[in-house]
Order: sequence, then C-alpha cells, then structure tokens
Amino acid sequence: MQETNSWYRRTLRYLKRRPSGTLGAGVVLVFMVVAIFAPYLAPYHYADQDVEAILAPPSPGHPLGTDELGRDLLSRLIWGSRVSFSVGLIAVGIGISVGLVLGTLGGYVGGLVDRLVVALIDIVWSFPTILLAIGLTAILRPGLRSAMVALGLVTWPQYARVVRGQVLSYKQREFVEAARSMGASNRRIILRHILPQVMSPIIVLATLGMAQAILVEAALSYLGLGVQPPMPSWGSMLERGRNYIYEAPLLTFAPGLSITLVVLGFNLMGDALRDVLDPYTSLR
Amino acid sequence: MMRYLGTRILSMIPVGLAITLVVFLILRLAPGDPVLLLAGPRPTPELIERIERKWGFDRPLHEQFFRYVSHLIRGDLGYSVMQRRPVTELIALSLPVTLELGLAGIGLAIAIGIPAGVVSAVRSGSWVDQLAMFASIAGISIPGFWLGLMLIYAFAVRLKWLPSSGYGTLQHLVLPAVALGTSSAALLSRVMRSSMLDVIRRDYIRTARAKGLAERVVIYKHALKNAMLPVVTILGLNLGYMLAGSVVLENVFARPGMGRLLINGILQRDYPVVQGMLLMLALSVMLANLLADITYVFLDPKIRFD
Repeated sequence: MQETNSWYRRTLRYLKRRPSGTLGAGVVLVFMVVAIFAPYLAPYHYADQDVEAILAPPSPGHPLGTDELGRDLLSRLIWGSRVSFSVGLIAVGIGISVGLVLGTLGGYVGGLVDRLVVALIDIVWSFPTILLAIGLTAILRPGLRSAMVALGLVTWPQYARVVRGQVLSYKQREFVEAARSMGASNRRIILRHILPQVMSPIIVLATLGMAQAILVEAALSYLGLGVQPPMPSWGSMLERGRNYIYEAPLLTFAPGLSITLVVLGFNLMGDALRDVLDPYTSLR
Repeated sequence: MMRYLGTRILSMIPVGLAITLVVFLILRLAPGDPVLLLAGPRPTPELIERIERKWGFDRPLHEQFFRYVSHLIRGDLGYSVMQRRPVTELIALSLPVTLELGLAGIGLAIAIGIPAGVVSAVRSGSWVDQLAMFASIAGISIPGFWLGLMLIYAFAVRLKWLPSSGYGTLQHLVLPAVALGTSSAALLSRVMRSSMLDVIRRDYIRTARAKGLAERVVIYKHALKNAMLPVVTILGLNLGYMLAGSVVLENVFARPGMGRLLINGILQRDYPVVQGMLLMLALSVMLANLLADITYVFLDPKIRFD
C-alpha cells in the first residue's frame, strides 16, 4: 500500500507542475459528469421533437437551436457524451482484458505460446485500427454494441505488447525469484508480484486509448456503421448535420467541437501521465 | 544487406496470407448465407449455381480458402453484383483516386510537420515551441472528417473558393488533403522535435559547434540528418494510417476512391467489393511498412550486415 500511496502522491505533485495535464483531466472530468448526469442536465430527451422549431437558430427555449427533426441540439450533445464515454470505457476495457491475458500468457509461459501471441499481435497490428474496426462492424452488423466490441478487438495488441514485455523482464527479477523459492504458485506470482508492476504503462495507454476509441467511434458513426438512430452519437450527428451545413452550421460545428475537446482532454492527460508514470517509454 | 532485405520481404508472406485469411473469413462469418450475400439482392437460380460452383461452398473451409487464394493469384477478386462489374475493374478505377489523396496528405504532413518539429527543438521552451506543441496536440485530437467538414464550411460554403466535393482537378484535392494531412503533420512534428532534441545534446554536435561551424550548418547538416531516422519509421506507419484515414475522408468529400467503395459495399452488403477493398487497403499498408523498414536500413549507417 505504501507503494501505491507514494505513486499517487508523485502523480498529484506532477500534475500540479504540468498544468496541461491538469487542464486535460479537468476537461475530461466535466464531460464525464455531463455523461453521468445526462438525464438531469439535458433540457429535453434526445428524441423529443418540437415540430414548431425545425432547424431553429439558438433561442431561450433551445440554447443551441434544433436539428432537422426539431430536436434540441444541446440535449442531443449531452446525451451523445454518454455514447462516447460508454464506447470508450467498454472498448478500452475489452482491449485491456484481452491484452492483459494474452500478454501475460505469452510473456510468462514463453516458447510456442509466446510465438503464437506475438504472431497474433503482428497480424492485428498490420491492419490500421479504423480499417479493421470497419471490417468487423461489417460482420457484426452496424450498431453501438458492434462498435464497442470491434474497437476492443482491434486495440488489444497495444496493451498485449507492453504487458508481454514487462512480464518478460519482471519474470527474471530477484523479487520474483524470491517469491518462487518461498513456494508461491504461478498464479500468486503473476497476480501479486508481476501485474502490479505493469499497471503504470497500462494506465497511460488506457488514457490515450480512450481518446483513440472516442475518435474511431465518431468516425464509424459518421460512416453509418456505429450508433444507429434515434440514439445520438456525436459522429452520427455530424453526418446528418452535414446536409444542413448552410442553414444550420451549428449542427456540424457543435458535435465536432465536443469530440475534439474530449479527445484533447484525454490526450493532454495521457501525455502528462506518461511523463510521470512511465518515463522510459515517453518518446514524444 | 541483400539477405536482410530477402528475409524482410519473405516475412511478408505469412502476414499477407494472414490478412487474406481475415478478409476471407469476413464473408463466412457475416450473418446469413454467403452464397446469397455474394448473389446480391436479386439472386437468380443460375447466378446462385454459378457462385456455388466457382467458390465451392459445399467443400470444407480450408479448401474454400485455397480456392480463394488461387483465384486471387490469377487476379480474380469476384464480381460486384451491385455495380455489375468485376471487383478488379473497380480497384483499377478507384486505386489512383485513393493514392492521389494519400500522397498529397503525406506530402503536406512532411512539408509542415518536419520544419515545425525542427524549429520547436531548436528553440525549445520558447513561445514558438509551446505554440507548435499545443498546435500539434490539438491537431492529433481533431477528427479528420470534422476538420474536413469545417474546411468545406469555410472555403466552399462561405468563401466559395474551392469545391466542396468531387474529384478531378487540383482544386478538388486541396481540402481533403489538408484534412487528411493535419493529424500526421502534428504527429510528425512531435516525433521530429523529440528526435532533434535528443541529437542536439550529443557530443558530435558540441564538437561541430566548438570547431566554429555556423549554427545553420550544425543544425541542418549535422543534426537534421541524424534526427531523421525515427521520423522515417513514423512516416512509414503513417502512410498506412493515411490510407485508412482516406476511407473516411473520401466519404466526406464524395471522392470515388477505395474507401467510398468499401463503405458503400458494407452498407449495401456487396461483399465481394468489401473483401476486395479491405484486402487492397491492408496490403498497401503492409507494403508501406516494408518500404519504411527498407528506407531505414539505407539511412542508418549503424546497421551493418555481414
């Protein structure tokens, strides 16, 4: 626990010294609160239509105006944050789970198992994320759940690679040897001694992975392969807004700005965290 | 050297086969009868019979894969029922469109990213550096397709300087290339900066300065050349991401490239087209990575072969 505590303090101290990281965390926090309390914060339900106000400009009743079906843009943006965050969290969760299991397996067991894991990583790695995600949604049928699963299945190699490398290096260390000589089981060695060491780079990757997942989900939804109507995703809102770019540019402007801000927040936060937690891999 | 190149190129074969397998499996794993998927929305009994005979759907899976690969080697990627054309013909038409955008994007990324990274590193800590680094993290965070939409709004809808969509002239290329190149320029400038910072601290740079060389010569002749190595690797990886990014941007700007065919194929369940486009795009990415690796070997004098 001592270890965790100092790690936590170090992070906090550093975030104070690097304001960009704190700024990023702040932006993320604001959007997270919005996503969690969306039903209470949004003035309307995302599917509520006001037939009196179609493509209306901003007014006291509709602070950001309405879309082509008379739905309140602000409310849809607020509900849309839920989609972005849930896709991000679940995709990153799947990615980490698969990456952790396969990476540990390869690094700890070694031999043929390791070669198989490395080959699998290389194959998935050779597809660009968005391309493979597009291919997978084609199999799984377009939708929110497909987007989450596809993103998770596409991004696990980045976690697996790091986990495998760390496990390989820690497996030989003295404290692991010591634990083994005292009769600790493989399970105990992995869970209690090796995996805690792997957490720092994983936290950094997960933060940057959230940014990536939110971006790719928006792209998938923009292409019509992600979230299906009437549920609002920032990506699909952009796709519809495009048709009204002349009459109501806010419909295109606002969702894109939301994506950019959240992604920027996660990127700033991830960059700062990387400098604190993982100085060796901070190449940029 | 030749042996390294040989092994590197041979190592592409299993990866290429794996990519082909993944693309092949997409059709088998898709919900529904693959014969009906291949036959399109209005299947005739003759068409169904022809497809069954050609791809051998009654045979075991590995035999089907073998058949797929052997068709592939002969340049037969199937037939698009929606477009009433062989997929190879569609690729021949759309590949140049995608390539043009990809090359324009990477050119722009190099032209902006590398100078920005060098200036940032040389004036590390100054306001120029801070501005450039903020611009770069913003550039990475902006979704390319939204940037594309914003460019359309500014330069096509408002200013009416450039066309909002389509393909053919240089004017049609400007906006999509900027939208595509921005995030890569941002990434390149970050890598360039850190690599340059690393090199500037080396002893040989101090020596170069100590013997009285002009700062310009030190930076551009001695430092830049060495700092380019990691940038080349990132550039190769980026070429792949460019191709993938063009999938989305072709849809934003209505360019008739491979990405647009791919997405239309998915939405219309035109599976031969989906397979063909995914295969071509993934193989291009693989080749781009190979190219980057080879360039790296030629640039780095420290890599020796015996």
